[in-house]
Amino acid sequence: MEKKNETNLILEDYKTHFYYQKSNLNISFNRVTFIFFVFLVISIIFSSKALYLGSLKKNENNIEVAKLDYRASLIDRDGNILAKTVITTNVGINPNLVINKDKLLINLKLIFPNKDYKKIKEKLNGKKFFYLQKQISWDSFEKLTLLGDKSIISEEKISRIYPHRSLFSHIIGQIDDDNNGISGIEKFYDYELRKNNKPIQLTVDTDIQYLIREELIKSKEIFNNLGSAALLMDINTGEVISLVSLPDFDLNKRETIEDLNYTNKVTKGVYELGSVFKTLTLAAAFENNIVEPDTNFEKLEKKIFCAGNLISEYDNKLPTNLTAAQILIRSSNIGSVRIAQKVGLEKYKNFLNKLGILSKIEFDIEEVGQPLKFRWGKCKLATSSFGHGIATTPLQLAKAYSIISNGGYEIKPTLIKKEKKNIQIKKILKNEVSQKINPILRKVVSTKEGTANFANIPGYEIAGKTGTANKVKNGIYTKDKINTFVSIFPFSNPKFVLLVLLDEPKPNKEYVYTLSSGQKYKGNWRNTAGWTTVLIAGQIIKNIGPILATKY
Amino acid sequence: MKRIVLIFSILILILATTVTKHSTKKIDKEIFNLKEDIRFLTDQYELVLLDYNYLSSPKKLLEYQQKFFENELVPVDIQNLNQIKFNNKKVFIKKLIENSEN
Repeated sequence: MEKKNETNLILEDYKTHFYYQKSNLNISFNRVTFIFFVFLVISIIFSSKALYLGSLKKNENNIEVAKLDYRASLIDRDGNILAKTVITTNVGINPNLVINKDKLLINLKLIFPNKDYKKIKEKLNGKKFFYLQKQISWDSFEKLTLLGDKSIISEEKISRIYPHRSLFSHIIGQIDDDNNGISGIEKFYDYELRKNNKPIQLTVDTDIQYLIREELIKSKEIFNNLGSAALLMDINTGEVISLVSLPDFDLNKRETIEDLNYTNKVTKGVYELGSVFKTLTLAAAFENNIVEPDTNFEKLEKKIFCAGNLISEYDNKLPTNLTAAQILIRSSNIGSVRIAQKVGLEKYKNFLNKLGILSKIEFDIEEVGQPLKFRWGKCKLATSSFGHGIATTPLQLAKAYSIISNGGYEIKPTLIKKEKKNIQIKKILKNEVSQKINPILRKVVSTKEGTANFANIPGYEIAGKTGTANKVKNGIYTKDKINTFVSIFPFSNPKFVLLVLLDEPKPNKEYVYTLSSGQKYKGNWRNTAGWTTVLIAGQIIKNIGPILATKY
Repeated sequence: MKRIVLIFSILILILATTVTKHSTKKIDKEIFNLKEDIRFLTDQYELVLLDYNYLSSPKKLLEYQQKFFENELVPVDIQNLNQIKFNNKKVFIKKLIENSEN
């Protein structure tokens, strides 16, 4: 009985999954201390170095700024500097630190005799710091330093210098106050200019650029034009030797320009350029073997209508029968319409596309115009044939003339000098086009019937075509003109294309022209390219010809 | 034995690297100094060139011409200019501009 009441007490070990497992890693205290000590020493060394570097006074601020704001130089094809970054010194005065104002003024008068000292005296009486001379010469700066006046404070600044001022303004473009390119080459090659140590070489020639610009300035004196432009390009490589657009601006002044007249007329300006398109029409016919230079066009009307719009000849005395070559030489509108109609809409359109007339051109600056888009039709074909109702940039027109005259090789206009082996040449037109068109363009200049006699400069074999167009303003044709002349020379072995454009020239009744016969002729009431732009182009070629003949 | 060879070769490599680095340190320093000199001289050259370009710019040259040689420099007809060429000790005189129309 007692057994039954017995309680069996069984003690069991409490089993659990959580148990302590002894690590195999046996790290002794000494080892941990040693590692800690090593890290401590290293951190002390680095910290002390960091403190030392931090305590150093930075007196080479200018070098840092120079590195940040550095831009490589721009040079022309002969290695002449067109743009360079230099460190300049600005000097100012803190009036609070001036001890003897009269003495300081006398000393300043000796160093800068031409300054307005009334204003300087007023500023000296004030309390604000003011600049005495920005971009001071070393000579003057040394004299100022020798005065030993504590109130004279100098600061060094990075400046971009353009020694030719406005000569290359539309090519080089501007930079802003933070040294970023905002237009022209400065913007397009901003990254390269910041990263490269070597200067970027352009294709332009400073001497030629200057001579062309001078003649364009003279054109304003003669024809009172609103603006003007010229482009000289190597016909075989597309290298731009000169690109001038007037008005231009002094790059050193860094002015904000909002006036649209300051647009780059060569690359950005999109114009209806008139009869210069007749060359393209005839070239399209030669390319497609549709006409020959002596193909006769008979019974040419003096006026025709297309969808109610009048198309007429500018000169009613033109014969009714003309050959294809004579149509171009005498600049017949109706004749060009007939040639274009023979070519046909599709072939004509394809030809213009091949020459790159209708699409935006790739160039080395961002200021490039977009040719106006339009819907093709029979009337558009007719008007386009003589350059009416079709607009493009002068740069693209010069490119098209180059291809037509250089044997049919495509070129890419460029401002950056490249090695000749890197220039790719692709043939896009037949040889015959140049062989047929160049002698005809020569006759436009050399024969009496032609419209460009003033450009017949002996020795240079000038060939070319004139274009007189009414300027379109806000979609409406005005009486103002855009007069253009595109020339190729020497025509027997073309090397250069020169395009000259005058924006809104006015006839000059007082100007004395010298005709090819040597006779003098006073006064002109004709506001055509032949009497305005060709004259200027002739003068340009006369001046730059010797350089081109001897140097290129 | 392998272990000794390995340690020995590592030691030689370390030693060789140290010696090489030490010997090239001087050359590195010289190269750096030369580069700095070139940079400085290039900068000086460009500044002198800048002055030269400004003083001999076409604008300045025409100003000098008007000032000093107003009546002395006369334009020459380019058609009258000839060029002399030497070939195998023979002298050839050629027109500078060949006119295909004549």
